[in-house]
Amino acid sequence: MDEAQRVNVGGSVNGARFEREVEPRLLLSDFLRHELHLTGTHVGCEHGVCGACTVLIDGEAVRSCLMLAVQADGCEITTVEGLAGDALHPIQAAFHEAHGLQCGFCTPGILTSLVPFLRDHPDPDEQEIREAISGNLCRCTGYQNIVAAVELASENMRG
Amino acid sequence: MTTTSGIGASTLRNEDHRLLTGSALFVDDVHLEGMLHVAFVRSDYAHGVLRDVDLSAALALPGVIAAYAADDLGEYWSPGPLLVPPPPIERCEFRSATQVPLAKDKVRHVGEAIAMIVAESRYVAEDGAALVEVDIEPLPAVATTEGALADDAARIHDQFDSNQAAHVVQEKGDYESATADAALRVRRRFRMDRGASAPMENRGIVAQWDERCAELTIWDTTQAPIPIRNGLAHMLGLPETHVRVIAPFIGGGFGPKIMMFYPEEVLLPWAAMQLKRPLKWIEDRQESFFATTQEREQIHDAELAVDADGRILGVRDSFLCDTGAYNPYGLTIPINSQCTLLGPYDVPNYWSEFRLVFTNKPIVTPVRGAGRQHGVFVMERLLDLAAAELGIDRAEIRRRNFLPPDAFPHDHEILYQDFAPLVYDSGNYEPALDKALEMIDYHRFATELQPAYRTDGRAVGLGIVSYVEGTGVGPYEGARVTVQTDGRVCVATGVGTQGQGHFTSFAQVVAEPLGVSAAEVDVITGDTSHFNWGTGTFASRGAVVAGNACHAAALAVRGKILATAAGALGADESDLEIGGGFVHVRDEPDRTISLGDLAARANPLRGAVTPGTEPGLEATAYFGPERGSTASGVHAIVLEIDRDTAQIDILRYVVVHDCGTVINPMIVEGQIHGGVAHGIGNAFYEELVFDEGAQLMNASFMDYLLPTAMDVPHIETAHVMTPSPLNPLGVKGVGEAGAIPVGALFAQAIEDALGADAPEILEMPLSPNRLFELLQGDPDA
Amino acid sequence: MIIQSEYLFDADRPTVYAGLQDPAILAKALPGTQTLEIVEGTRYAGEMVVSVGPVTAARFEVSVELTELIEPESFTMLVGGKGKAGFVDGRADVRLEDRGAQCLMWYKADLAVGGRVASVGQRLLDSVGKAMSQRGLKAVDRMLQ
Repeated sequence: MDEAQRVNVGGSVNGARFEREVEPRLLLSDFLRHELHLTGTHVGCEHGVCGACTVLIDGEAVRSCLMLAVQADGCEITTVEGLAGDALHPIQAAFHEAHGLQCGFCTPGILTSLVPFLRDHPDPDEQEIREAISGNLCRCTGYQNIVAAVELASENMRG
Repeated sequence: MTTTSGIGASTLRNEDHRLLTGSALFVDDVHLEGMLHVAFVRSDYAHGVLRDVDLSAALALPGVIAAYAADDLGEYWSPGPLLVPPPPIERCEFRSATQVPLAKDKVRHVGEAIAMIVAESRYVAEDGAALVEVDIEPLPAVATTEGALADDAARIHDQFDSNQAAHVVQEKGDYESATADAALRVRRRFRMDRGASAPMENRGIVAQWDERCAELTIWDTTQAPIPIRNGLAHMLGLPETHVRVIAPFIGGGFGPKIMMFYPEEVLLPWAAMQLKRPLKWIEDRQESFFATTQEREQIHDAELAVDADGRILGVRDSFLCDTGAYNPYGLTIPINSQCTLLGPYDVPNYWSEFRLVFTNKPIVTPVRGAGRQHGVFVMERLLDLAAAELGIDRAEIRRRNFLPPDAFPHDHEILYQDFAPLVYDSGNYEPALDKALEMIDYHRFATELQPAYRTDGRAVGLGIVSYVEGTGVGPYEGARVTVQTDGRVCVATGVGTQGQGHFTSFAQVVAEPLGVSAAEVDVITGDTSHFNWGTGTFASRGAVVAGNACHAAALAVRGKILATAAGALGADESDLEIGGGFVHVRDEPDRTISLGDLAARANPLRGAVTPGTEPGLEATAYFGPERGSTASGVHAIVLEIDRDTAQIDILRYVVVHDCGTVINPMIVEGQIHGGVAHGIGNAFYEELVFDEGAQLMNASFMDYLLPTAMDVPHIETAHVMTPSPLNPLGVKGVGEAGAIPVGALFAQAIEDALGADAPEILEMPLSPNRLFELLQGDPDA
Repeated sequence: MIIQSEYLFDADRPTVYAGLQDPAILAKALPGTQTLEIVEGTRYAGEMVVSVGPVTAARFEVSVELTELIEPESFTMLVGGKGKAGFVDGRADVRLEDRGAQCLMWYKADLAVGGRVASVGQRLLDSVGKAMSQRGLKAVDRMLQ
């Protein structure tokens, strides 16, 4: 077999432009972590169940392990590294206050999943929150403090 | 002294910022110049003769740098060490067969490593692995625990005459004679299976060999960096000082990350030295179901003898325990089962026997709970059955059998996993039971709520169970505390951290005696170049053992601070006070000096140092408890079953627990929440399904079900506190507690929900499928 | 894994019996077969490509042997397949019943499956196995017309 063909992929991640040549089979999660060295996005299962690899593509939550890097051509990607400005994003701050993380491995995927959720549901109740994060597995927290963190975040973001 | 972030405060965590912003370093985040990537060829067969491994096609693939099978390792190939020899139990037959780096002659479980491929990327390494030709002649597989001891069972280890790894009997008193006139004997067979630890982060190793400095650096998702460092140095013929093992941020441990000398751990450093390039191997999720250890089945034939009031006369138990294809972890799990079965109860006579057997399945080593679940399930179910037969309330039968508060220390006269006699150090069980009964509204449920549910045709039941857990075992841990010249305090200890908040709880323990806030304390864990004496994080011992070492070191530093400050301020030590990062003379706030300045003074560039003193404000201390401390708790649940679908809805969940002194209540509650979630998974959703060929049928999260946010209820917690007399802080462990009694709790509650026509629940897990079968009246053992 | 079923051929029993020994026709009975050639007598070897759920386009080297031939009533097919995605090993017992111009085939396959195709594709193995065998026999039926 010849040398694998390489394809151009360009876009922006956390506001910064990137342009690379990649193998077509390279997963977006591996591209972000090992090409762009944005290792905040974590890989837990590589089959789209655990949600740890969730990033935002044009503002919507997507599992980056189920996407090829080449499919992100022309897209605006946001990873966990892009959430904080000079201060922590209100969702991050709420997770700190409510002890919504323990080992922190699943956390980036949960934080990014919550950005569009809270944008679209600024005042969710407990059931809605649990449903919203039901696609993110956490083995450490039992989810209770994550729910509390989301409640706190939504309260703070409503001002 | 500051108390807002000292012991007992729910101090927010120091480690959060890095984790929340994605800047924390996990093993797969390590990126080194020239790094190559590793993939493994693993057996598709559970049992077979390994005839040939042909690496030629893999080596010919562009991008593949090297490929190894067992013979390529030469002298380096050898089975791993026996990590836990058997405790000095009198009646104990034991033999060990430990895992090998790459299979030679035989494969003994699906997923056993056969060859290692090194390539420019993981993608190419996997391409290479697919090209390796493996010739295995299949042998019949031992696929069940009972099947392992059948006369015609295939022999897994040819050097042994059977698949029995161990046979152990422990006893106390004399069961036969003491129970001859028992009012009631209850005897059943119980079958309990557990599963994979399934942390969100899989295992991984990066190994880097610096040829010029002759130094080896290893990043490893291990819970035990120091023993790994020591063992690898020995295996590779390197001085320990030239091997550094770093356990950075770890995405969950739960037990199997303290299994040591996994094939990958042993191979990557060796290959890095051969190839003189850094190597990385990251396990993928599917691989983890075979390559990472797990916990599995026990089958108990147990009998409880009681008097007419339900008081325990004795317990007799004979059980089988599966250890998988190899048994590097010795007898830890079955001994935990044996000991934890006794629970918080007065059991005057006990006869317990087990046989540990090899099977052609992945290796079994402790997973959160480490065999305690099995013991608790047996005892709690037997008590429920006895209560039902005698017409005694199930909470009452437990109360009658509790060890009273003046019974401590209580010697159960059998040996525990830490090689010491099983002696409960302290406990007070009735208040926890009372608190749980109150919180779950026990009496109102029985008299009002349940009858109303039943009238509505709803199957709602309540469960309440109690347990003890031996925690905080030795041998020891150590810590070094240093006041730096900027006034910040540094703590270094050997244990690793996998999410349980050591960067904060250890900081709190040190902050208090030094008069600083926990936020001003930097904790280093899991890096052998910073601290290299200790064992690791396991058996709910971090806070107890390492925490006390940190505290002891901080107290020693406090002494040095006072001595140095006395000199600096020209005052008597007894007139000095420490607080807010300063030392000052009592009632004279102007006579003060900062900790940072004191640290500088204690390490002068000029002048003389008094003989017999040490420079700096630094001390190292070690702590080793004489034996483990006994935590305990009560769990209560209200759940509803849909009789048609066998789906379960948890309406209430209450935990009352005793872990002695609580360093950080917020962290302790988080540990309980996580433990209960894990317990719910093991009770109802998680099961490793093997077929008759010992093939694992569900090696992915699509089919191995972890509880989601929809499956774990809101958990209400309350504390009882009996400080441990075995350590200065009075702490007991809590990391595993949440997971331990959940199976027994579910079983009781489900039977209660179904009422008179409830099937007896004598097994765990109970997936919706299995519960459905039981509801249909199909025991199908 | 057990796959057991029946199929009614629109051809008479001798035709079906003979047809199933022709590698070109036998290949049709196993959907996904790329090549199947006679090695010797009633032993065949070839290559298959199979998809089971998330395991897609898995290549297997297969060997097939027809034994215990009792013309025109029955035979046993020994099957072995090996590839990167795992292995399949087992036997299928086949009985043919005379139905005049038609022929009823009864078959029972008992297969051990291992490797990734078992550990990740397990839920689908039964249904895929059943579907494949039915599809295969339909294709054979067409060829025999």
